[in-house]
Amino acid sequence: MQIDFSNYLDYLWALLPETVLATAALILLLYDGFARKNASGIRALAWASVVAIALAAVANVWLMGVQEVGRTGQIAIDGFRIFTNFLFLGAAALVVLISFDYTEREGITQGEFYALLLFAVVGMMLLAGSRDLILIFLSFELMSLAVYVLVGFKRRDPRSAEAALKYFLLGAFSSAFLLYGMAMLFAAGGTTNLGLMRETLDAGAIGALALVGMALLAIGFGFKVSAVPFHVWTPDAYEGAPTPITAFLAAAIKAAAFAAFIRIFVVGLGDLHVHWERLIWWLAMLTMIVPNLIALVQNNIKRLLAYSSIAHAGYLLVALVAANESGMASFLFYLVAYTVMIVGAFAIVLMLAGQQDRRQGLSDYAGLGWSHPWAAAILSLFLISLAGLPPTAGFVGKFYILRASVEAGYVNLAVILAVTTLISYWYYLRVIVTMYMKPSIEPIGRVPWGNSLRAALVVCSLITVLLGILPSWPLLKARQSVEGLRRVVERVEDSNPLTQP
Amino acid sequence: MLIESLLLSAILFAVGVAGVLLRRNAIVMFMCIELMLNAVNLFLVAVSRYAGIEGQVFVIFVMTVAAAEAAVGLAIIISIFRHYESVDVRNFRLLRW
Repeated sequence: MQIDFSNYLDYLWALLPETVLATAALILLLYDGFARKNASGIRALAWASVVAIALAAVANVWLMGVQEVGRTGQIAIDGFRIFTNFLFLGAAALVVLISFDYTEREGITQGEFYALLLFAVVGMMLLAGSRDLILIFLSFELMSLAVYVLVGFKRRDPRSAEAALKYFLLGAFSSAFLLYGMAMLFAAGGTTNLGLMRETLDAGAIGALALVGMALLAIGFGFKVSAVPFHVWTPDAYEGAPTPITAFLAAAIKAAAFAAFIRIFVVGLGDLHVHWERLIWWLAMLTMIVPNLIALVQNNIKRLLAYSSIAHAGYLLVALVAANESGMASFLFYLVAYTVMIVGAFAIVLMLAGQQDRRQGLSDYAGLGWSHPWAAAILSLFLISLAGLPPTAGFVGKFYILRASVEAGYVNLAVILAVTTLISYWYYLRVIVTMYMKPSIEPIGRVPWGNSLRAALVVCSLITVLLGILPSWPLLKARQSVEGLRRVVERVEDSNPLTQP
Repeated sequence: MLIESLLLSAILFAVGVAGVLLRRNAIVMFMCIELMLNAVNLFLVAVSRYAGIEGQVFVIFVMTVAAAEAAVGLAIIISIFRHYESVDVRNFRLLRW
């Protein structure tokens, strides 16, 4: 099937996964109004949202056979969008699976939890697939508004409310920067379409307006992906949010913001690379160094993982600065690896924390290796992968990012990446040492592991190990899906005088 | 007229940024964010005469989003007021490193 947007019905086809998911979320919300508010009711809603995510994934598989005409349609139908869609849907499914036990334990009976989660995923999918500044802004807000509410979902807990307020104020603040940047690019390029903007913005004759616009956009995105020095909200929001939502924030939200970052900077402003690479270079460098140093002194496990997730944003920024095809491919590969390992780590933290999320200190993990050997072993696997030691997904992902940045000529960034990775071993291994070598102070007692949580953990650890051992097939897929992403118009054929009549 | 409108929008935006950074009342900070959004709206309307009609379409969407954001933001501020009986962000210090 071919889509050229000549007919309005084409938009419906091009947005089929999003439409399916949004409809399901609306039905869920409606059903929740009449459903009984108890543990079995919320369980049914959780299963319904898993089904909805599966249906959207089926629609996404169908989308793989669809061709788009040209590369300037408002909705992109390319490999990049399909790959990231699968990533968001997978991350959302994992988050729903680890939420089962959490909602039961914390007494969350409001079905809006799952409806908002699905709305946020719709926003993410639109974000990664839109080629228009207006649509990018709208989907950003669709995603963010749902997540502001989710962060503050435990209304009885002052920490949750505080995290929501901080996240909301800084998120809205950064949206304004993003919007001003978009407005300036629109003024400079005369269009909101990223494909056309690439034609109208000429790298040789670029005005101050476009430069300031790019800087403002970089600031806005810096906030959204929590790059240093715009990261101050991240540890607070991650610590206070309900733990499944923390996993969602760290994995899916960050991935979606990065997807839009790439779509605007590498596709829309790809020819202006010389003008923005210095700025992103500094962001990447600071984002690798600062959080890895702060994480060394953290004693709260959720905060430690929050700083680790900021550091990972830095590694992903390196792939963005490289901006070549192997950079994009390694970026997608790393996103998949990072998603499974961070969701898995937060799933363990979620279960061990117990009622009201009491146990979050590192000292609570002392002796865990002997009292809960499975939990400790799996958490160690994810921590080793986050640290980037072989034979795990984190190692392969970092290796590919290093290679891409050297290929693009950013050897200094590659060196910083390697050195900061070495520094980060200290705090990841500190957790593992605490678990296996320190005597337990206050025994954790029995932890009820639900079946859905077990399933999510099995999936996460399998993918973490498999990506580490057999990385070639996923990397090939990632490479195929970014093929031609940077090529907006077939310039080569157009500019060749021999082929012109 | 274009230059004057752009200058005004830049000044409004700067006032908004300064307000968010300097004031410590959550509601005032939120109002300053709305001011920033409206500064962008002014910018878009001003340039849309030269750059194309999409600017005015953009403004409609921005206003809609700002309304939705106000609903969510005020709800969050109310929920935190219930815990602290205050909207001063200096009081909210359960989460810190």
